[in-house]
Amino acid sequence: MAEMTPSKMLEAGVTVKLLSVLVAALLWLTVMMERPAETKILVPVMAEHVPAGLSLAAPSPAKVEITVSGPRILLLMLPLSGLSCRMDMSATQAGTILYVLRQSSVQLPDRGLQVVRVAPAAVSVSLAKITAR
Amino acid sequence: MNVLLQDIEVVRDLLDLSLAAFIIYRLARLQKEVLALRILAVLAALLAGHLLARLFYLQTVRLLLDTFLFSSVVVLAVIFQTDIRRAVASFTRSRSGRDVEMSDVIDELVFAVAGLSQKRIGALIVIERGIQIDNYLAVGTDIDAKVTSELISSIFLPYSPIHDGAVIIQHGKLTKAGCFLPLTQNLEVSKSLGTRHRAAIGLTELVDAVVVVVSEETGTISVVVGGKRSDILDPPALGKMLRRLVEQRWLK
Repeated sequence: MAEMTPSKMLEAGVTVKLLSVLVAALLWLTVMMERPAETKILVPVMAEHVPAGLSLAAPSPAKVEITVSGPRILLLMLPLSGLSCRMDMSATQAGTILYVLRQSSVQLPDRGLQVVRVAPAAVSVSLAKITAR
Repeated sequence: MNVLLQDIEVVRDLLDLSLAAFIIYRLARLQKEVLALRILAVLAALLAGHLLARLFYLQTVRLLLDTFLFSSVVVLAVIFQTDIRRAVASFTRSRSGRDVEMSDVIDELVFAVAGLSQKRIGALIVIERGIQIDNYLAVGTDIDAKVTSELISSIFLPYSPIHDGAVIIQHGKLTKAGCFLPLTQNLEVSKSLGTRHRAAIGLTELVDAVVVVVSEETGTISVVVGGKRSDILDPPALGKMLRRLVEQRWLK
């Protein structure tokens, strides 16, 4: 049968203490990590829905800095989540335009996160007609 | 000024963490250790899972774990209801005249057990702790007397009509004798163990009580807690162990 030495019986009490501290630490960490914070990350600017017959030169600048606010825990993995700032080019014509970046241009992975600022607020984009050879 | 504010924040966080650990530990100690360990392990796993799910934006897993976490409060309240009721009652109850000297009870018990062991008289003594054991006791004779070594010794004398069952100590008083306890169904329990040991293991598998067994054949003293048996070499070691296992509040 499973026999227990006196020291093992007392060890069980120590394990309860240690587990209590662990649960308290995890609970505390959960609360701490829900505190609001802000982080700044550089994301690439990407063009979408470019009209047919137009080609896009690289936007200037190629990357913008976004400031995201939300619970700390959600901000931790944000730099690794492959964010990008998307520009909808469907209504544009040939020429150089100044595209104003909105907070909604960045798709965030969680509803608890919010884009506070995008810097610079606008990027210059050149669209040229594709000439058929 | 900023450094001072940061220091205050660190102290506040440490205080927060320490108080939370203390409250969780006190709540855990209301239950028997095996159950407390399981509850704490499940809570730790749920909290760790919640943190990981939140960290990696796993929203469905998080929803599932959060549901378990929130409902665990209700589940724990149901599990702890007897203890919560008793804790509330003990706050309101006057303590005057009810205090039983812990050392008296343990000393009397150790003295009786030492005598019984020496004479190779079998004995089975149950000390109730956090969980009530009344529901697990069959038959038995109500006694409700002060714990004395003479009384315990006389109950277990072979010609006593109630020597075959267990003596129950609840709130520092010898409340019952000749009680039959549930026998263990564990197949791993050695076949060489007698009915007393099997009964001690059986009861402690169900509740957090401490059971002292004196073997009739060898005179060996054993302490059984949480379904685990531990042989005690001598009476002083028994006293030391009982003082560690049985808290003052359980003898009041």
